[in-house]
Amino acid sequence: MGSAVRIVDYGAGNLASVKRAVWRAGGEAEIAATPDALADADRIILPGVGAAGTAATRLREQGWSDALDEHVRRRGKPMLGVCLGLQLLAERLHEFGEHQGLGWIPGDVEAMPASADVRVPHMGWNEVTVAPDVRALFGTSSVSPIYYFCHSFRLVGAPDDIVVARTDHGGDIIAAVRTETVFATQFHPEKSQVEGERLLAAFLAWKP
Amino acid sequence: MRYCSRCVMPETAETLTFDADGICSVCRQIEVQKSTIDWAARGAELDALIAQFRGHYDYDCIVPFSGGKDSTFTLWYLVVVKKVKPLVVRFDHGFMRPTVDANARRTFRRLGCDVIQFTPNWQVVRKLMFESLKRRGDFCWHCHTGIFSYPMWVSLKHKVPLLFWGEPSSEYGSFYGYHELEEADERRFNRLVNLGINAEDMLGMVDDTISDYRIEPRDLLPYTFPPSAELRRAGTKSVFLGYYIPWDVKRQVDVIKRELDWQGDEVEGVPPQYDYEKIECFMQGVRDYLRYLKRGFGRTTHLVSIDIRNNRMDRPTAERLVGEYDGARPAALDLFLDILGISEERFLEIVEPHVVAPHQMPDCAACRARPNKAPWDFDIWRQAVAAGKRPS
Amino acid sequence: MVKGVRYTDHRDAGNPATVTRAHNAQDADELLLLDIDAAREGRGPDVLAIAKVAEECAMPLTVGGGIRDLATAAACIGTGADKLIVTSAALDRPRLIGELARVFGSQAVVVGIDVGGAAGSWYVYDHRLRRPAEMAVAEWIKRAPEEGAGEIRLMAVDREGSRGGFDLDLLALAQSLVQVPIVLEGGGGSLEHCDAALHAGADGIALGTMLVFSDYNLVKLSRYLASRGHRMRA
Repeated sequence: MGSAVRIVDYGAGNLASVKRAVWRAGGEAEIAATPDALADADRIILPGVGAAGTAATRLREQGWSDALDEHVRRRGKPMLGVCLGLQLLAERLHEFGEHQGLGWIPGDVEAMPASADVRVPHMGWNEVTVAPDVRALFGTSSVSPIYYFCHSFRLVGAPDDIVVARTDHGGDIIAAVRTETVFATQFHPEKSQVEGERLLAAFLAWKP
Repeated sequence: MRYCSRCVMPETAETLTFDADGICSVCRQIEVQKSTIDWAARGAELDALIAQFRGHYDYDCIVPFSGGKDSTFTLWYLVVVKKVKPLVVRFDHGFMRPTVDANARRTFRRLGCDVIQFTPNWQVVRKLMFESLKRRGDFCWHCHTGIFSYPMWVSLKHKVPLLFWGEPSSEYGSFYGYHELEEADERRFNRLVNLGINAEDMLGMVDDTISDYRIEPRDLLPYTFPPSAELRRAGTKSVFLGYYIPWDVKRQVDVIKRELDWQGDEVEGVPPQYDYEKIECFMQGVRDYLRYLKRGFGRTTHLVSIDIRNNRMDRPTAERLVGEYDGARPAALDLFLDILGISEERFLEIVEPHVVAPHQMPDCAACRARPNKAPWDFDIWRQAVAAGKRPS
Repeated sequence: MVKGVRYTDHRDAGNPATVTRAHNAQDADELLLLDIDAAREGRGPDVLAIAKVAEECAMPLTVGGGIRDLATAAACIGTGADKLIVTSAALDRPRLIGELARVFGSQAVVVGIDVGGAAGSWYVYDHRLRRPAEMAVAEWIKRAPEEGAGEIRLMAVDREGSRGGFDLDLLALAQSLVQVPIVLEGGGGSLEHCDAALHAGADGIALGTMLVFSDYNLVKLSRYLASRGHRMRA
C-alpha cells in the first residue's frame, strides 16, 4: 500500500489502539507529535476522546488547525476524523460553555438529551444505516453495519449532502460525514473489530 | 433435541442455527453456494492470483497435504489443471494409516512434487492431547494447530508466500459465510482452529498428570501461528481453493480415484459407501465417538446431511444409517486410553462436563454393548501406540 | 492469567494477550480484564500487562484491579483501557467514583459489586479480607450511580466458577434500584443461562469459566442468542 498515515497527537485519546487498528487493516501509521510531522503524510487520522472545548483550544494553540488546513483542505490529503475528531470539524461546540470548532462543516455539537429509556453517554455497539452509494467508503457489504460508539455529544445541523450515515439512540444521530477529502465517524472503527478494520482499509485506499 | 427440517443435523452442532422454516444455517449456506456465487469471476480471481506468484519463488505455492481426499484433490487440481509447481508440506499428526500413506506416496510420485514431512515429538503430543481433552472435550488441539501453523513456518523459511488449502470451513460450519473471503490467517486460526487456546496459553496449562516429559516453550513452536507482522512482511497469502471453485466432494473423489488411483478405506462408525471420508487418522473413530457423547451425533449424521443437501439421499435412508452407525464404541478407544494411560471411567468423567445441552450423555453401558469391529489395519495402529510408551 | 471459583482455587487460564487474541477473533463485545491480586496485595495495576492486552484488543477494554486514585486510573486509560472498574477501592472510599467520573466521564467508570450469599441473605463481599463488608447490598447498588458510576458489574461470588446459572434475583433487585447498565457475572455455564440473563434484562453478561474450561465459544454463543431473538452482532 505504501501510504504514509499520520495520527494527530494533540493529547486527546488513545493513539496506540488507532495505530494498531491501522496495522490490522493492512497499513502502517505513525504518530505525529508535532504539526511539522504532517509534511510527509499521505493520509491523516484525527482521533480523540474527552472534552471538545479543551481539544479545540489545543488544536489551535499547538498549531494543528493551521497544519490540518494546509494539508487536508489546501493540498487535499485524505483525513479520517474519529469521534471527537468528527465533532471538532463543526462550527460551534457547546460543551462546558461555547467553543469554536474548526468550522470545516456547518453545524453545532451539543449534549445528547437523556431520558428514562435513553442512556447518555451513548455507549456500546449500534447499527448504522449507510446509504448504498457510499458503502464502499465504509468498506462494508452490510446495509446496516454495527460499530462501537462512546459519546455524550452529537453533531446537529449538518447539511444532508455531507451526512453519509446515521444511527439511532433516542433519536437521530449523525454517524458519519464526508466532505471533499474528509471522512469522519462518530463511532470508533479502531474498537469495532472486523467492520472497523474494513472501514480503515477502505480509508487507506480512498481516492476522494 | 431439535433437528434441521431438511438435513439431519441437530441443534448441538457447532454454530448451527435454524431459520423460521426450521432449516439450518449450513443448508442455507449451501443454497448460497449453488445459486448466487459468480464462479466464473472467482475462477478468474484464482488465475490472477496464481499468475501473480508464478515463477517468482523456489515454488509457486505451498500445498499443505494430509493425503485425504480434499488435499489430494487440491494438489491434483493445482498441478494438473493450473500447472503450478508446489512445495507439499505434510504435518504428521501421529495417527497416519497405511492406506493414506500409500496414497500420498503414489500421488507425489505421479504428479512430481517436492515434499517436506514433519513429525512432531510424540511425547509432547500425548500431553497436549490430555490437556486439550480436559479443557475442551476435544483431544485434537495439537492436530488443529499444527496443521494450520507448521506450513506457515515453512512458507516463511522457504520464502514461498502463497499457500493453498482445500475446502473452506463454510462447507461444513457457520464460522464464515460463502461470501466472505476466508483466509487461513491469524484471525481464522483464533476464531475456529485453536479452540481458543494459543500455544503460549497451553504452555502454562499442561501438567505432569500423564507423563513427566518436560515441555519447553520451543517444543510448542510447531503449534504456534507465526507472528502476523512476519507474515505481512513476507507478503503471505493463505487461501482456500474451495473459495475459488465450487467444492463437490463426490465428484472430486471420482477424479482422484481415476487419475491417481487414490484408495478409500474403512473408517470406524461410518457406512462403507463413505470410504473416502477422514481416512487419514486412526483416531477418527474416537473423535467422532467423543462428539457423539458430547453432542449426540457422529460422523454419519454429518455425511448423510451432505448427501441430503445435494439431493442424493432421502431422509428415511439417512435416518436409518445414522441409527446403525453413529455411537458405536470404536475399537481405537482402547488405544486412545492407552496413549493417555487413563481408564474408560476416567475418560467419561472428563467428557461429562463438556456435554452440550439439551443433549444428555448417553448411557455408556449401551454404547459398550455396541462395539465397532476393528478395521483391517488395527494391529498396525496398536504397534504405533505401543512404540510410543515410555518405561515408567 | 487465572480463572477461579469464588476468587480462590485459581487454575491457569492462559496468557492474557493470547487469550484476548482468541476472544477478539470470536467477536467478543467487550473485554474485562481484572487484576484480582492487585487490591489484595495493595499494589497498582500492571500497566505492562494491560498494554499487551490492549494491543490485541479491537474492542472496548475494561480494566480493573488496583485502581485507587486518579493517577492509577490515568495510567490504565493511557495504556488503552476504555473503561475502569473500581471494586474494593470504591468500597473504602465511595467518593473515588465521582473523582474518576469527573475526569474520564461517567461512561468510563464501572463500579464492581461482589455479592455473597443468596436472595434474602445477600451481603457485599470484600475479596481482600475474604469476609462481608459493612455496606448493605441494596444501599451500595443504589449509591454507586449517585456517586457517578455509569455502569455496575454485579458479581455473584458464590456462583463464580460454578457454571450453575446467573443470579437473576440479584439482577432484579439491582434493576429495581438503578437505571445504569448492569453487567451480570458469576455462574454462567450454558447457552440457556445466557439466554435467561438477557431475557431478564441484563445489559451485558460476563463470562469466564464457561469460555475457558469448556468448548463453548463466543461464535456459537452469539449465534444461539441471535436465534433466541436477542440483538447480537453475529
